[in-house]
Amino acid sequence: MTDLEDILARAWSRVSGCRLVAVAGMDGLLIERHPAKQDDPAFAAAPAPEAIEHIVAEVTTLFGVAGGAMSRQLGTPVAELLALGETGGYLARRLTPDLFCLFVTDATADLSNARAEAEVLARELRGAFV
Amino acid sequence: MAASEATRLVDEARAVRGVLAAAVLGADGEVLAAAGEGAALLERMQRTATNALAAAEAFASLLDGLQGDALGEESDDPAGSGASEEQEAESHLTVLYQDVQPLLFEPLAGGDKLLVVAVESSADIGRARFHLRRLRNR
Repeated sequence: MTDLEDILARAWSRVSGCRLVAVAGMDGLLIERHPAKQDDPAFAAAPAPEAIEHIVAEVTTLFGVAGGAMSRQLGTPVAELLALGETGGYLARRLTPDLFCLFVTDATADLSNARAEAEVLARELRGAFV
Repeated sequence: MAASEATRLVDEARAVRGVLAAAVLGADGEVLAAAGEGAALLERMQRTATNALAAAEAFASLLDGLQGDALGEESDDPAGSGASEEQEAESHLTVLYQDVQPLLFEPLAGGDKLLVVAVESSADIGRARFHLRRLRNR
């Protein structure tokens, strides 16, 4: 019915080392993800469905926290969050007050590329759905 | 809302991945259009919606009474901000029944119709709700 899945699939393919890309609501509910189908070979490398639901909820909380003193100090709302570990990381970007996109990457990902693609994805999604 | 419009909404809702059944109901629970996997599921959707509508009506009456009391107490507030803004705001209600197959309720424009869908699992709730709101706002 929509090309939301296609948009996410294109973003996923443009970020080397990307394990998963998703769109979620600021109420903590996952809307769509890629890879999403269990018969997709890339699905095995992505976080499990239950795990990504928890991750999305945590990112929502982080945006909420960053919307306080951190945003006030900047003078603009925090629009992007980056969380890194030795085996990979998370890049979340606000699309609208209600939506954000999330990239989950492995340790090989080029984060500057991921940030640039998150910007492209945000533009595409805003154009298509907002 | 014409029957064809209700049917179109049901068909488009059914096209969303994870949606098992969809129905457009009137304010009294009357089915205007419906399609889905299994008569039992559709029957459950209608029964739940009818019960939810009755409960919502009772809650709305209760809240109207409470808001009336609150307005009376704050009537000398020169800003008149909080309560009056709430009264002017358009209300939307999405109720989730997360048992076997979660049900989502999305009020349609005008407030006298309800789009109800059953989704396969809780993992489909966010996607379905996102697309239902887009359908509602068309």
